[in-house]
Amino acid sequence: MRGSAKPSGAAAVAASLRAPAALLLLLTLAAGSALVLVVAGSTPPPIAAVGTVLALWVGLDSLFSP
Amino acid sequence: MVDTIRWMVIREPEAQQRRVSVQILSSFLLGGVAGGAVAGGFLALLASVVAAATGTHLAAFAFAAGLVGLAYLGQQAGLWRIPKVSSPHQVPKAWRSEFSPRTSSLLYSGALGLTFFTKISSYMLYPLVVLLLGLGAWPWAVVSLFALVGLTRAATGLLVPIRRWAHTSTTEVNAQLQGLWSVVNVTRTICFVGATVALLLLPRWRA
Repeated sequence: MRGSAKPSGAAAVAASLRAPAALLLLLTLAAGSALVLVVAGSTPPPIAAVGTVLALWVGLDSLFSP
Repeated sequence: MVDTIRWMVIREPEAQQRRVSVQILSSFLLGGVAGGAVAGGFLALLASVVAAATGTHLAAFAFAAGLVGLAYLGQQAGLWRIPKVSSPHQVPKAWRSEFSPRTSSLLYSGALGLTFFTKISSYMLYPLVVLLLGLGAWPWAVVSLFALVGLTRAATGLLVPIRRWAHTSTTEVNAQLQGLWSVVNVTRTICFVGATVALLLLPRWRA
């Protein structure tokens, strides 16, 4: 069953959540960038690059965990 | 995780769902960073002890991390089986209903950010941990990298409002995720191979 098949109130709530979610996504990107900068500023560049790639994937993989 | 966010949103009366959802998502992100930072703090402490005892041997730890990455790449390719060190438990679902939405979101995500106490699906955790154990001289980098793990884990919850999954059936959500699977799998494998090769070649690069 798709979201559009639900009552309009639910659809309205879903639509109204996108703006704050976009703001939270921007904050998340800013926070993530700040963390990457801390790593890049304190460790040798190859270590920072590899560590960041691994850390991002460990986090992203949880989206596909059961 | 996506299911948890959806469940916490749709259990609220419709009139309050928008306000509560923003609180839930904010707490979720905060909890993820905090949990990750705590896990990173423990690792940084351990790495500092290792560095104090043996000195800083970054190249050796990078090479060891590369070997661990290679071992888990073989596991992923089905070449052999090695133990997957991970807690068999997910964060208890009961946590979602025992506290207020904001608190339960913070606790739930905090536990996810702690990483080692939840079921881990990513093989990349193991080379990352070995690499971080060699960063005893850079404790803030260890904390930051694990905070990044927690933040990224928590940020996947943002897909619920962005993809409008709050009122979409689990079957439909899973179907949409399944559609991404092949692209994600290829990209992940490329990143994993690239990171492993980089770690194995790092001692040569530094020399």
